[in-house]
Amino acid sequence: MNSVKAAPWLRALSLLGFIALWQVAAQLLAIPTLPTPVSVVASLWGHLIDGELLSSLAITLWRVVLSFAIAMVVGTAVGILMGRYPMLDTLLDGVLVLGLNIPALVTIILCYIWFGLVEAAAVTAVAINKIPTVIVTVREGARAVDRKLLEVADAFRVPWTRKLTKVYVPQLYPYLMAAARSGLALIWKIVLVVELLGRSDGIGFQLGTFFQFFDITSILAYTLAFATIVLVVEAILMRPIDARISRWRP
Amino acid sequence: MTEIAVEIARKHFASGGVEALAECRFTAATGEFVSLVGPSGAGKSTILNIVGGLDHDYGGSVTAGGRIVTGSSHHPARIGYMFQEPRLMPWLTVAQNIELVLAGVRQRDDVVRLLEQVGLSGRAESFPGQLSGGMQRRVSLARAFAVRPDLLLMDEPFVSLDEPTAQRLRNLLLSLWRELKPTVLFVTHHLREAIALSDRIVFLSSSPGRVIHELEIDIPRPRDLNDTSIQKLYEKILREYPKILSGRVPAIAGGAPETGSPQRRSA
Repeated sequence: MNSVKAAPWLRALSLLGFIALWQVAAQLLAIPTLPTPVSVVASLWGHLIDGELLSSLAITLWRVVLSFAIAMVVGTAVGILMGRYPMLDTLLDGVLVLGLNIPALVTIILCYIWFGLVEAAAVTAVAINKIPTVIVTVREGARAVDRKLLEVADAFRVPWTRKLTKVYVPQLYPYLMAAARSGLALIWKIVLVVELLGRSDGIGFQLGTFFQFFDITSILAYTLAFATIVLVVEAILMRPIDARISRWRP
Repeated sequence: MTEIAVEIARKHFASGGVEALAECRFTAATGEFVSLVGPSGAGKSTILNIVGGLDHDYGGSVTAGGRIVTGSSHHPARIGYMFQEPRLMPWLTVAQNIELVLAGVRQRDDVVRLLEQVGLSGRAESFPGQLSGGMQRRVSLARAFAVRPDLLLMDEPFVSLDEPTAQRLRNLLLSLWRELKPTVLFVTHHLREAIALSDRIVFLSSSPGRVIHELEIDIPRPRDLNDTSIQKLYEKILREYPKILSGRVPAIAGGAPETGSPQRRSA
């Protein structure tokens, strides 16, 4: 159990080491394109005070949550159906492979051209990029479902809603968690590109502005804020959920 | 009233069309404990699946209480099922596993009482993975009885357990059976176990399974697997039908058998 107790420190160690290395390198080089961590934190504080960082962050987070939810719901439903019905699997497999491999940039540009530079187009573009990978992961889970356990539910005439929530979906949990984790990682990245290309608010848009002014300290400050959110989400959402649904594992 | 009448004319496996069952007819009276004994591959589990309404793809008919079984969702009998493996949901606690098959929360008391009966009252909040194989079977047995079944289907439920554990479970089964008196179809290839538990034994041939012999067991209860009367009957059966456990009776078996405690019925 030692490794578990030491885990938070181990986690922090790699980050601290990285920051230390960065500080030393920035001081030695002393060039404007590599600001020190200390000046980045100072800049972060400044952006926090003047308020536009928080509102941009809120807007971006909202887009992330929305497109993540859409991608998970649609991807899970289609994934289960494709895992369950081989006919459907064969039918949709070609489109799925196409969806997996189409560059994110193409989807984004097409969505903006077809639907206009609107919020719906932005969210749709992100969701479309994510859905295929959710489908692939969940389909794998649906194929691995233990029919013998479903048979128990049938033999005892367990109502279908309870069969779904207590017998079927728990078997998909590991796959849903994997899809959610990789999904969040991908969506963070794509949302910023979407904002850069077609929205006039959000972190992506702000980063684009800083880029034009070559304000590297601000870019890194925003990145830092963003990275903090990602770590917090992982710590207060993903890991507790993971622990909760796998608590039965010996 | 849950008398069972099984009349399976034929059953093919979906894959490859191999014949699994042929001319498989037998009955079980209300509250009767009937064992199905036959070699592996005789289609014993298939019979239980058909009787339980899990398998509809066969020729013939199965009735329970005079009504035809058309599927598991509208089965005329209330069914308890115990499978070869415990088949508990590993992500649900012991208590939740039993509640899963119950209709509502009002049976919470039943769960507590049942767990007491099977000697697991302290383990209600344990997960199946934390229990021994024998304890998992006890949960599985409790689950089967939790629905207050009038038809109990058991598919080699005590296989691959050490003998003392299996014996404890058999006694547990019999005491629960005496209390609720469901009709029982008990699949096994363990003849002595079948003799010790059953009112009647139905012998099946090797694949495709057919009924080749039926035997009334009138040894008074309570019985013990190691009783001499059980051992004697066991030896007698094997003397009369040396190949019955591999699913074969001699062609002359159609003639009158010796008289004695096991009386032969039409096969």
